[in-house]
Amino acid sequence: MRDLLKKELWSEKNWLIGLSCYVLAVNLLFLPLAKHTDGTFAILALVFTLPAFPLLVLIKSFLLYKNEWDMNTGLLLFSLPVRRYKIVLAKLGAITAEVFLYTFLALLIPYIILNWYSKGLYGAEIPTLIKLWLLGSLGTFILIPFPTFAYIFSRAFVRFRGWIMTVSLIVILIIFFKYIAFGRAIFSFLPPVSFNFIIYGEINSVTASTKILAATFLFDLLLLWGSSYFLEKAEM
Amino acid sequence: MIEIVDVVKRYGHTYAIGGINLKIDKGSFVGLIGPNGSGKTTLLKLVFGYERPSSGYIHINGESPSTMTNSFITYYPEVESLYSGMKVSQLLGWYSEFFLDWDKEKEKKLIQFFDLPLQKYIYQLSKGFRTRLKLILTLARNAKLFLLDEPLSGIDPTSRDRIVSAVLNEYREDRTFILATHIVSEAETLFDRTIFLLDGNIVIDGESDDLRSKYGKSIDAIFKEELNA
Repeated sequence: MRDLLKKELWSEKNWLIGLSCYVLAVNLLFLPLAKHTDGTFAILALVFTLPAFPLLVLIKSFLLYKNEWDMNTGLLLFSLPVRRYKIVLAKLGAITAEVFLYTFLALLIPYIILNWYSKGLYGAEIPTLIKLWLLGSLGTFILIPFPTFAYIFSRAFVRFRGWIMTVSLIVILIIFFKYIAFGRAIFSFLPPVSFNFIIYGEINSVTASTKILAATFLFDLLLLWGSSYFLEKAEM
Repeated sequence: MIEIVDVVKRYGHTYAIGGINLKIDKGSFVGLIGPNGSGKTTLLKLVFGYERPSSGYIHINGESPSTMTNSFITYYPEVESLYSGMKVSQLLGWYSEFFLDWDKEKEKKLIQFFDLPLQKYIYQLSKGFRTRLKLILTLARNAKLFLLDEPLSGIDPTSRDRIVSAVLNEYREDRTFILATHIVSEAETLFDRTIFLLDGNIVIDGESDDLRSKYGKSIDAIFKEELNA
């Protein structure tokens, strides 16, 4: 398992370096503006780094598998004497590490710039930054199993795999939206998370629900089980 | 060792394997010969477990091919299957960690024998060197069953001799080899049994010496004659 993860992380190395450079470049671009606006323009950098990231993760989630077939490297990977659920977990582990690291960088750099230039006028406390990081990362993480399952499921068919993947993704989403109200009820005991932001020198609290996150995570477990099952059956 | 019973492999309406029955004993060196598209790769993939039969079954030492049988079967794929962004040493180090039967000494000898540049990235290697690396990944193990799919394909004659020699060095009485090839002349000396596959069916199967005596010619000549028939 450790060796599988090592290989996945290693393959993601260039992506990670590229993404980190992108975050740095965007923040550097906004640095002169942030300087003249009490640091507030540093927040704008987030618009260019965070919202599109989940989409990238969604694409990567199935490309990690698709490449194994397209490049025939699956012949090497599936020749290992390891159960395929471990391969699913290793790939999930690698994307998760990427998600947590990218989100950390994307939040930390503007946070430092904002705190530096606003001199206490705007900003957030460290626990809030950590909570934002965890919630942002987990919010992206919970999306990973959806395209993963759809792609691996499509491998069970000889033809029309693109269509099968698209249709199965739509079906999963329909099932998910039907389930989510029930899922939220299961986790109704979970308290909301509060974030403390400093605006004009005063602390303002905002709360966010964690029920959807927990309910989606439960749904994810089912999708991961399905992904492992179909990967075990997949032909190379 | 290997029992293949009524195995059919179908892709949609196309039959890749059309109902094969075969028993291969431990310690055999089987030459699986046939033209391109005759079903050699499909049959090897079925034996390894990369693919599953549409009907019939395959047993290896009494077990159906699965990720668990990968621990004693090794497969050499014809196509490029290496992680091109890895260094040779990195790939060898990573891959070897998974196998209890990996022989470090043998790996060293094979690296020397094939003159492999360990510090190069795989994408920097020529096709010949990538083939050699794939062979090391296959032969450095003390596996019970070796499945080699066209190891001589697209290789210059000098390298072919080296490959044949490396494969021959690995042959022991407790190991079974199945080598699929359409380049018969340079490999036929290895085979103690030859199976000729055409359109997914076995058309000739016998001890190589018996076939030579029966037809009065080399396996290569029999192969060419059957192709032209």
